[in-house]
Amino acid sequence: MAKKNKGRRKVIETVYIISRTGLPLLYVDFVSQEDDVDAVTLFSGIISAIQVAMAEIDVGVPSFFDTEKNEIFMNVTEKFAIAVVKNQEPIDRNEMNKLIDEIQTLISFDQEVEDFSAIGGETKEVISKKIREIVNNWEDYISEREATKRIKDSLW
Amino acid sequence: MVVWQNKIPISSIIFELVVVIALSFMVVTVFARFFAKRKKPVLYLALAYLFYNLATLTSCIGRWLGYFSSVPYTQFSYTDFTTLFAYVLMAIANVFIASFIDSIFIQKGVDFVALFAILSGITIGLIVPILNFEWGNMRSHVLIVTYHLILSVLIFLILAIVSLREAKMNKKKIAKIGFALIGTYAIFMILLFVSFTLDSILVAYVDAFSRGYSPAYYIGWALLVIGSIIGYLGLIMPKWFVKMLKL
Repeated sequence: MAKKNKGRRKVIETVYIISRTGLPLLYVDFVSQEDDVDAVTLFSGIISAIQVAMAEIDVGVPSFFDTEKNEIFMNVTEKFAIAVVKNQEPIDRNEMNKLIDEIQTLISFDQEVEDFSAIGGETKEVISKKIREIVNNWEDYISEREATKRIKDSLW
Repeated sequence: MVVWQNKIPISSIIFELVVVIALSFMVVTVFARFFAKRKKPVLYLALAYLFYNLATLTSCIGRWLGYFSSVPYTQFSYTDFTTLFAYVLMAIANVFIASFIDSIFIQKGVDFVALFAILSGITIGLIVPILNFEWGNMRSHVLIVTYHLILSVLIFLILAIVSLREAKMNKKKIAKIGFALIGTYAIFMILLFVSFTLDSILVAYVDAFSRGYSPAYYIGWALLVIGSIIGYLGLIMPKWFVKMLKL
């Protein structure tokens, strides 16, 4: 997932939109410019499998889990699931939820996606571009909050 | 005491002494905060205040020496020398302010600080060769002084923008007020540099102020004192002030 980053370190690494059957509908990578279709498909499948398995054993659909390198935040709607992969930098959970809600609103209401088994062509491009905008604005917003943390830590 | 002596008004020597005392208090409190926290941003701020205070002290010493000197100012001008030297110290202070802005807000690292270090280095490089005790030195190098003051405005403009933006985006009352005060302090500093630029232009080109002191000079120092108090509240956030805000 995370390969190389330039300038200020980004918190969000990848955003996945996954169909309810576990297929990747769309993904936006903020770290690597390379397409790794196999890894994306595998990741989407695993996320979907975890959600289904957890729901099956009646412990509820997970909204978060972490690995050695990343933290994954998820949200499942009736038609699709969103998975946001971030680095280990501590970020308020509410801020992560705000980001996911914004992406969900974009796909559910702002864009006219007709077929949630495959988002294609122009719509895919438009949504990817808007997700980039949303994430970049969110990164700016988070960076502002980081200034508060730094000044509290060093001065106040 | 006479009102004017050696072309120096008594008001200026008293005024600058008050500013030095006020700024010394700021330097002590910021260094105390550094020894308590031991973090880089507060060290940069403490060094910036130290150099601003040294600049004010240098200028103040020049006025006092000039006022009480028995040598006529036309033969030996303390004030022109110390004012220009104060700008060199201010240029160093500006680099520390840039470091403070970077460490708290921008986080661009070496690039941002290096840019201002180079630009301030130009100020120092331009002023040092012309440092001498000749009367009228300030007036003949008004462009250099203006360059330095514009650069200072730019640095504090960045501080004002990032602080006020942070204040706007923040939801917590204390942080909102703290950043708004830092932004206001930066605006006062901008107005201070604008006043000093205006003063150097008025003194150089307007006959009425050819003695070396325009109203902009006094306005500038007053802005510095008021701005420093606001900056103290925003940057240091003393406990009594936080307690007052929570009420």
